[in-house]
Amino acid sequence: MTEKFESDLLRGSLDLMVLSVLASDPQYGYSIQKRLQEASREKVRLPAGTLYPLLHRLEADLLIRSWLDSSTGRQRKWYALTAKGKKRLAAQAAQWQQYADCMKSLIGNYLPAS
Amino acid sequence: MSNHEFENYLKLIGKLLQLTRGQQAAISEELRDHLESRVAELVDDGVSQQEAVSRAIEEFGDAAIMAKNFQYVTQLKRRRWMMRFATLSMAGLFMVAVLTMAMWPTTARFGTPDTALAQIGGMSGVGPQEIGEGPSAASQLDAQMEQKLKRPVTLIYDQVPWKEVESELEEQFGINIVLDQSAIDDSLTADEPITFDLRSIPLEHGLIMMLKPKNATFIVDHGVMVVISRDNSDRPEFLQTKMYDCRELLNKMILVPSSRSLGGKPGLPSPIVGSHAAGKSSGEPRAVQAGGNEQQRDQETSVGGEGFGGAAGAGEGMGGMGMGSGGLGSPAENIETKDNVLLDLLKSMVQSDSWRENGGIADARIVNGILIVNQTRGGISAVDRMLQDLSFFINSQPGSAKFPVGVEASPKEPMPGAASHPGANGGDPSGSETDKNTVETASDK
Repeated sequence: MTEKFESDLLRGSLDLMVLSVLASDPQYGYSIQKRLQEASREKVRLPAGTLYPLLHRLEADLLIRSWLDSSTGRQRKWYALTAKGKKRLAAQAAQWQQYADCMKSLIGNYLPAS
Repeated sequence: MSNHEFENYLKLIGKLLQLTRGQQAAISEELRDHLESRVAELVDDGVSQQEAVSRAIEEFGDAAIMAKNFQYVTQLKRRRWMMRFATLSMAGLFMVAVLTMAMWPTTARFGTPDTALAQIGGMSGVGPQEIGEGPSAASQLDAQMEQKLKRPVTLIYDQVPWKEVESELEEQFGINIVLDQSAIDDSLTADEPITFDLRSIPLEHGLIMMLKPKNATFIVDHGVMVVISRDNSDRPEFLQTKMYDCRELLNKMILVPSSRSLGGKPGLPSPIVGSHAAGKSSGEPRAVQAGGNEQQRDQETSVGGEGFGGAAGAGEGMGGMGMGSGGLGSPAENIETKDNVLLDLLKSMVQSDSWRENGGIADARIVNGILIVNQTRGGISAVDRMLQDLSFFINSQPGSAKFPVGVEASPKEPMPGAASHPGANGGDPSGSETDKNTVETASDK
């Protein structure tokens, strides 16, 4: 089942997705895209036209920082969470947990039996 | 990897971005890395180079949309920067203003920078300065009503029941009017016929005049016009409170010793006797002698503390009150005394029977230069008028605001209001007589 999420559903959570992908270690744009794809089992495929502006916005918000590094053999722009970004991630994750629980109890009856 | 499609795509995005060359280059570099990584991966999976490039670009999405998304981020950054700059500038300006106000000498003859004196008689009816989040909700409602009361109205009625007049005005001005049943007598009921004819008059005065023959008037409470009997207008619950910023007015007042017989009227230069030379002497002759020598020079130039020193000296000379004039010239006491002069002026000129001191119920105080008046609505409007005219007079004739003080000011002592009215219980008449005589004698020498 590789049906994609509706974009309306994704819109409010893209920031949180990118922040969580960056939580464990620094990444560059392409690897962030791949990680999201893998973690969501191909359900989330963030186009570059959305991903890069989003990264730049998060950086302007001081939630992530970036630097150029060529130690992998190629000049790349790497991103990592800032302290502020870590805080935001924790707060948003908690909020999403509650949101998901709430949705679950609301729509539980209408889910196909599995 | 240098592919035409690639380069064209990146160039297009760069063009659409409208950024500086450096910013464009940085973004292009990052996107190039992404495309190249993707192409390399696809080629690894066995896709042909040509096919891989096309797919990678396709996945990338529409160049215009990406450019638009980037544009949004750039605008956001720019707006944030401007906000930050604006906030800093405002903070800076505010600091400068605060410092200027703090450093400004309170005794400066030209007063502090034009603060809110314009509020005197002004319509707002709320506090002179915002405390916390602003004036209370009730005051804001009242202020809106006060604005509407200033608007011109034409009131022409021939035997129209009050309730119809009421609803017509409510509609026209968007206000609420109620008859306070607990505070109105038989002379005005909902069916009372009103006959009235007055054109182009502020609503407030039109209504006052219209209600007067019905022995009624109104107050404003929480933005509602409450019609009450005139007999009840001085009930404590119907008193209204208004604040006036009088700091500038107080600053511009100059206290000079009273000498009625020599023309001690406010606005006319009053001779000053016994200025700083009076020292601690309590005996008449010495104080007057000093005054005699320096009278001419001090007459026009005494201001602020020095002027007050003169006042104290004169007090000693006239009444023989026997208090030292040592520290009396300090600004703090100076202002305190001006407060009393202004309050006494107010209470003797505006509905004098209505004030608490005179057996009435109204009250007025000055705290840090803010005059707080609790009066009937009519009283407030009279206070408005007096303060407005007084400050206009003082502003239009700088240096003219000389207030004769007979003796050291204290609430119970005679004050300029009294002093400017011969026959009122003003300064000690015998003292003034003596004063006059001795000064004349001194000048004759």
